[in-house]
Amino acid sequence: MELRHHRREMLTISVKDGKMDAVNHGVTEGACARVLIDGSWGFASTTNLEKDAVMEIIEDAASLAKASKPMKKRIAELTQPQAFEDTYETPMRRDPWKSDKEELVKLVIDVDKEVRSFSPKIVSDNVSLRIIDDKLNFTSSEGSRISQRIIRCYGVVTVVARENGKLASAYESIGAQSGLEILEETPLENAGRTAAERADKLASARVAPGGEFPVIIENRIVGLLAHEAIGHCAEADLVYGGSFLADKIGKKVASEKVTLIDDGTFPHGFGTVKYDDEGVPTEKTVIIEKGICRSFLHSRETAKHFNVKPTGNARAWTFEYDPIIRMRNTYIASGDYSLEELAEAIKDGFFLKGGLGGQADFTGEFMFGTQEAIRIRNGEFAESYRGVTISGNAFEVLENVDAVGKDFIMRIGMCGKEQVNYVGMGGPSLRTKLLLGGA
Amino acid sequence: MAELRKEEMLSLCEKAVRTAERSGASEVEAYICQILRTSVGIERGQIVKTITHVDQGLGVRATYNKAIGFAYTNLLTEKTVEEAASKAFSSAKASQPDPYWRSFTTRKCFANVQKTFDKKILELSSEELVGLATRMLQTATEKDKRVFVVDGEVEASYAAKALFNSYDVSNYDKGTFISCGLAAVAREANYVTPVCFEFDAKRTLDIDPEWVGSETARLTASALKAEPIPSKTYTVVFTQLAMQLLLSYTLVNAVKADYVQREQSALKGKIGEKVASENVSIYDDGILEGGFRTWGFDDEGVDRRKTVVIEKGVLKNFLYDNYTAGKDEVESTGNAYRGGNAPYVETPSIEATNFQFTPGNKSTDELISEIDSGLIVYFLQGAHSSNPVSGEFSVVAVPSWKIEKGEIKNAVKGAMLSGTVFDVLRNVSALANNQRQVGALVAPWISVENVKVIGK
Repeated sequence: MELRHHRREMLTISVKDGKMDAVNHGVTEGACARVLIDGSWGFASTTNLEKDAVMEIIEDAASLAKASKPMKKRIAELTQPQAFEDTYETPMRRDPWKSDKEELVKLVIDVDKEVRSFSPKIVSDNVSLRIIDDKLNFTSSEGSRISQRIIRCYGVVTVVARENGKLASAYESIGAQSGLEILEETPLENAGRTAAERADKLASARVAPGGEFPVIIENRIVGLLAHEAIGHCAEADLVYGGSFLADKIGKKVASEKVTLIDDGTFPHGFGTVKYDDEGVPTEKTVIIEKGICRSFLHSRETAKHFNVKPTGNARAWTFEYDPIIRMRNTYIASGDYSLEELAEAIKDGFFLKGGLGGQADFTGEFMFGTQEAIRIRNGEFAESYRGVTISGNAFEVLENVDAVGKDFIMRIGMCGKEQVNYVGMGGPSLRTKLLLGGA
Repeated sequence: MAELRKEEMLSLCEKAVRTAERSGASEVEAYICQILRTSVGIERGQIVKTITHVDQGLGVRATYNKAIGFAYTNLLTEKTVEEAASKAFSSAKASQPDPYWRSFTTRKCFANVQKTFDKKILELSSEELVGLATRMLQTATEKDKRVFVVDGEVEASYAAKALFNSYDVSNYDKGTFISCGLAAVAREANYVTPVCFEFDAKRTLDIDPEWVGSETARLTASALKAEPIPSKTYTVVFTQLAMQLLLSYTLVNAVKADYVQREQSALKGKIGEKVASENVSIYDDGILEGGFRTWGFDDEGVDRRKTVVIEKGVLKNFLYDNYTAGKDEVESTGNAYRGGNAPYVETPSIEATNFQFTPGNKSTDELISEIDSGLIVYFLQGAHSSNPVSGEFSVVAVPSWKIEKGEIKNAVKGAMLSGTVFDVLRNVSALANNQRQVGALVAPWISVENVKVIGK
């Protein structure tokens, strides 16, 4: 039996088109119980934190576990418990709750002003800043007592530009698991400028042609590919279901240039936690090492099934959700090419920049949107096009990776697998072949 | 946990409103909701868990000199509600005035809605839900041995909401919802199909789990033996799931007044113009009988109604909430919406209710029989990366099947569709009569000519 308590305090400041859109400040808090009885799970949650109400959800969870039992063929079992008594807190220099709300409002207003004054083509924008403070308490019948406090700060800028009736939009974000010092390290106004520049440039650009091309995928979106197309296939619950990686441990699944990692300990990673929501310590899990599939991402239940150690990937969005296998910070490891060197070998292709969110299924088929496509001719960067959707089978794309850059970055992301969660996505720029769904 | 009573909900709202008013707020609105949900989860061909959620909370919007602040709490005691009200007021004071702010709604109206609440759903036991899931799962697995269920769910929910504001607008409504769905793949030789899924959902206890099981298995098995198709333009039949994905990131946004006012809609200035084929008439019907999004009032207290959006191809109206209506000096169309799993943590934004195409009179067989060379698309990957501003999309049509000489043939591998949603609307050639709701969309299968398909 596990009992979790979760308190989330969130502040959102948003400005749209030079006008205050929101100053929202709220708290959600509650507790949940998850019970395993004879191999069946039951889960119940409550916002009433009185002792009687908490006892009641434990009973509810137990009776729900019993309700689904008659149907079970496969029985859930867990790895041997390890009990931990520990506390963890996001390392930070500037506590966001010690800053003045009005000052933060002013910062967002200033970025909005700068974005709108960038070019007369800019017709609309939205700048927002969010602080999320999660306090998580975990206790289990196996003896664990864990308290964690995770603080995340992030900002998002979207910009729309128009020229001759044609509209283009661009999007940029900054953020980390950190205090407000992240706003000094990666200023929101820089994200604003990048987005404004891109929207301004793309308003008059055409859509790139469709078809298969050699491409460089920018470091800012390689993490999206690592997460959406590969990472999900390595989640052991999807491996069970027969994902592409199901029978691939020890086998070659990508070019030897590719090492892919899901790391729960990455400093300031958006998906970093010391313990997951089953009380398992997180770790750095190597999924693909130089092209060879090495490990899957596990909960205690799937680790038992696969007869390995749990990797600390069971995460829940809030107290209202049971933990499921989620990635933490997923990235492709750095190589040693500069951007120019990556472009050198391309006669006719594209440099794809800026992600727009993606989708994939566990066979490795994926798609995601890009914001901008820069033509590469004979190794030189040429004209810009509006972004296109790229798609294909991720393992084919990885097999075709013939050079990996050295410009590694880690970005923030949201992943929506049944329940949303914060994740990190990272990597360097790399070169491969892709199907572009253009004009 | 027991349902909150109407009086309890309204009294907590009034408490919040009066607290912020006493602090000095110019006007205040409080929204409260309670959602009870029980679900049975299917993973990897088996029922693995049963879950109950209780989510309830209250959100307060307060204004101070035309600046707006918002705060919320999910703990519903007098103290926490008072704290939320004070935070909303202090946020308003930290914020900046909005010159376009008019006021919270002063309309004291409530729309009469039908078939949105069924006590039988509220009273379902977890054993009964497990029973529905079992029937659905067994039908699917017995139908075809090559089919493997990867995921599925049966969920019953109840929601109640209430709203009170400084103008004594006071509304309460409750509703129920039940759904069941399955996602599966099929395996043969070394080929695994993409994930295919089907579902059934209703506001009353009237779902058919056997149909979902059998239809998921049929679809999945027929996705085996997929072949690439050559790139060219085809006639494409969009099923409701595919059309819902295509429209929700493009057309649905383009008709929202905030998108229009913020220069983010390609339909700005086009009221009265022809924007779609004559076959296309679309209503946003917030009071549709049994509609998934039918309620007596919207999420800022305005009565729901039926709004004509496109009539015989001509753009007639945009969708408004109270704020954007004030800016255009028109009346709200009752489209204010607080979304997500916890609506009380959201401030209202504009959302379509039941976005309904007027169906045609052809059967689906007749619709298909008229197509010489085409594609029928059940689902789109990547619709969310469509350009909301220009309506440009570039999506993967998976699963999809080829149509040849009036018949549905083999599945298609790796085809992408690209174009703009406005070209799709202009090229609608026929609508079938199999009306069905998926998300906000209420529509039949829709046949569209000249859609660009990128194959291999």
